[in-house]
Amino acid sequence: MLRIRILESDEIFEEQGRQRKMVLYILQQLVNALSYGSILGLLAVGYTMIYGILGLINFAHGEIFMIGAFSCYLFATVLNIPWVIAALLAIITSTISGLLLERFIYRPCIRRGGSVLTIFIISFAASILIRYLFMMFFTDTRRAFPIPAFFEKIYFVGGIVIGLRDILIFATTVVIMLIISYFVKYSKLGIAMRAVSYDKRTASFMGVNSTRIIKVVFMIGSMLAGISGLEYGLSFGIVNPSMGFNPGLTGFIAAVLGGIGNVPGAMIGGFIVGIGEILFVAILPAIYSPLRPLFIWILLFLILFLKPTGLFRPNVKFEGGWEE
Amino acid sequence: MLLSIENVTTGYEKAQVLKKVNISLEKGEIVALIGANGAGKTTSLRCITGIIKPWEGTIKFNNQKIDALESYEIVSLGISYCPEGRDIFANLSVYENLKMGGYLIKDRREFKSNLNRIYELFPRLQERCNQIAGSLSGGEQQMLAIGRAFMLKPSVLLLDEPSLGLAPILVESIFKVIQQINSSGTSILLVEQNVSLALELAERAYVLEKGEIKLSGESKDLRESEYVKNSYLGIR
Amino acid sequence: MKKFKSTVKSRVCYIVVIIAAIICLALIEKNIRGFYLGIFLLFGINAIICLGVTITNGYANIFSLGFGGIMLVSAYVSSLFTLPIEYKSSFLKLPEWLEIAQLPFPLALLLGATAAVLVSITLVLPAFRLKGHYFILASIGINIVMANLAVNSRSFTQGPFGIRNIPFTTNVWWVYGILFLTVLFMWRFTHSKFGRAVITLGKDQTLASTMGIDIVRYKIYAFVIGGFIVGLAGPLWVHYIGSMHPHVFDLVFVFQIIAMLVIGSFGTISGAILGAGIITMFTHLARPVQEGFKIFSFQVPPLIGLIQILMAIMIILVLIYKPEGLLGKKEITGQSLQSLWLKTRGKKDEA
Repeated sequence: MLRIRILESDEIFEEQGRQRKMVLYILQQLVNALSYGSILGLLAVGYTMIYGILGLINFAHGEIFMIGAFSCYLFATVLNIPWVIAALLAIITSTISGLLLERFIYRPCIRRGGSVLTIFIISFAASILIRYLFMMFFTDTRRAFPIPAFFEKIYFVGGIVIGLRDILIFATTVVIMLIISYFVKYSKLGIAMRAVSYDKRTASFMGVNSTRIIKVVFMIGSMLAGISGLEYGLSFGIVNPSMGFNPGLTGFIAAVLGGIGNVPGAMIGGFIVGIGEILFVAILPAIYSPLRPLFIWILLFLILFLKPTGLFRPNVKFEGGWEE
Repeated sequence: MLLSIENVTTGYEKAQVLKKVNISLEKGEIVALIGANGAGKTTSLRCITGIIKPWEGTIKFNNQKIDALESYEIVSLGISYCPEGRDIFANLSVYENLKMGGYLIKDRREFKSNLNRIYELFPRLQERCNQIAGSLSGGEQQMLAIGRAFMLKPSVLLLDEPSLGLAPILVESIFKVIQQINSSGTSILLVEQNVSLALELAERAYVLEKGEIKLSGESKDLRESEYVKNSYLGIR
Repeated sequence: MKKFKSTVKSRVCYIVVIIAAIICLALIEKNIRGFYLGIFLLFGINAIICLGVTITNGYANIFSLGFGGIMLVSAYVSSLFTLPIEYKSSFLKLPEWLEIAQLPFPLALLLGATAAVLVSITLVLPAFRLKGHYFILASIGINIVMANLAVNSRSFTQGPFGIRNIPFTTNVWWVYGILFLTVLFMWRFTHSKFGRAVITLGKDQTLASTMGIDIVRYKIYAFVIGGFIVGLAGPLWVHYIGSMHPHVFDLVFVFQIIAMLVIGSFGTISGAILGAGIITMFTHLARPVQEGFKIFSFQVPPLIGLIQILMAIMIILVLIYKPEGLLGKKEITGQSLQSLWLKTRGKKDEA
């Protein structure tokens, strides 16, 4: 009788150990997902703000993201500039790129009465242009993103590895998102942005220079993309000129998921997609891993099927496009 | 002359709407623009606010030509526009709409005092100050639109069909507010389909027909004129 | 002078032109090889693709970018039915009947196009709930999903390595024959009641519905017909190159087709063909430049991606300055050629 009892408690112990391992594994993945979700969230917010104000999908947004990450690499590794300054310069570079994009590609197109289709194609072309320019000058080889030693600190918490990196990225993103939410909801410029996105002409009757507001939105969106690029570099450690396409597309999906034009929705969408993607790979057996891109799209199709305008309420007068 | 449309001919794309129109507004006046649908009343206001540029002629404000300016620049000169159909920002709250009205105000105290003035004129707006503007009734939206236009204490207020779609009681109270706004120093150019009310409120009026000024003069004279009585007041 | 179309003279003209074209094709097939033949064939194939996309995106105004995925399916299907059995048995794991299947090219072609049609139908139905940008996003997804599926179905497609030894059955007759038929079809289409309904639908949906046109049904038709045509082009392409892989019709490819339509024009037959011609020529003639060359004994290194960059710049410039494309809304027809001819001779157009 005694022997049987001892066996039972062994089995229970084993089962508990297995469960704990599973839980730990998932928690570990979630920690990774926080960084990834932050990266996507920032991209999604940028997309959604630009869509909200101009009604256009800025396909080149992913390339601005790449410019943020890649230029930091160039400044820090090739030009040997201290990392913090390189990072700041990278953010400035991506912001300027966004402004140039608005000034020389989108504005002339819109000014000449470009249809929504035309603007869409032109943004697609712009993204190809930027990406291949970088690929041509720098070749598409992967480079190591410079990570200052400071970031490599690691903590062990109850069996999970949490890097200082992850905490900082997540914290920075949360802070940025809070600031942006506050800004969009309460500041005069934020209210003006929402007014312009609703009705540009009436806003001009209040003395709002809509061109300036559009520039501000592009600036903020591109800044966010640049920061997102830095976070990506810190998280994944590798940068190359064609790195912008996939995160850009995923970020766009996250924005659509959250209801296009809806800023908090985009943030949440970013985390949903990020966490979802990581959990998908973590939980399913390894042979399904290459299907990872599929997961995002299937998720998108499902949500669009059930709720064609995304999870949350979109914030534009024209919800989704021109086919009304 | 505070504001004047001088010999303006204009239209949309290839369709001419106004032909050699002359309208003037003196300081402190309320002037009405009346006429049938399509006569060109809204087009005149749009021309002043810079949405349409005159093909011929010019528009002057304080003796300064403004027809080449952008809409947002014209607002900063002191001309506010309350469009036909109200055009409030339905996605913003009442307060946020008014804040947009006061977008150009730099001083916080000035903003607050202007805001309070609007709330005094329209107590209903203060009650609903956090409500989303899209959920307001037609009358409340009109109040919001006028209040929003008045936030800047403009020299000139352009009102396009403020009585449209409103119950007579509301129209009366709104017109009372318009008078109060006028007494506080704002000159008003009023486009109205409701001719009798317009002539009651305004000192002078212009009658627009097919893009041309058919008649103009003091309201009391126009009220007595046979032409106006027949065509617009339905009195035979 | 009567209108060009109706006179006997015009009929004779058309027949003469067709005979001349056939003779040209025969000459080309005999004499031109390699590089230039390649350009010629690819031009034809691209023209077919552009025409198919014109029906969906141009006439019916359904802006779908999913034709890459549809072509992928049609190409794989047609390949699987024409690959040599030895290849199939050694590299792929197919069900018995598929492994020994060996169809003549025309059948495989049709099968591929049919597969394309089936995929189109499956995709277009749920897609109707989506509007505008959401729809475009979903259509981009089709390409990615199809490529991903291809990569992951090793037994059918050999995954990322792709399949080789596809028989070289594409030649000028196939390409230009199909192109000719497509043009003929589209010409009749635009003049038929059905076609005009689709075009009205594209121009103004609300107007079309008030005229009694069943929007959903006609959109589906347009999408599926477009799918069929590009489904013909897919097999033609891979049976020319001789091999294929999951990313052969990826977004870069889609982008090139869009470039052709942007430059040509989105809603006309001649625009589609013109655009296809310009871009195909440009891509191929610019290739040597991309590989590096010498100017005045100065070695310019290979500039990978130059072609895409120039194409992107071209698209941007055209879209800003002439968004309707080079041809705009006009078609090159017998009539317009006739008036052009008259104008150059100084005579007034009497038509």
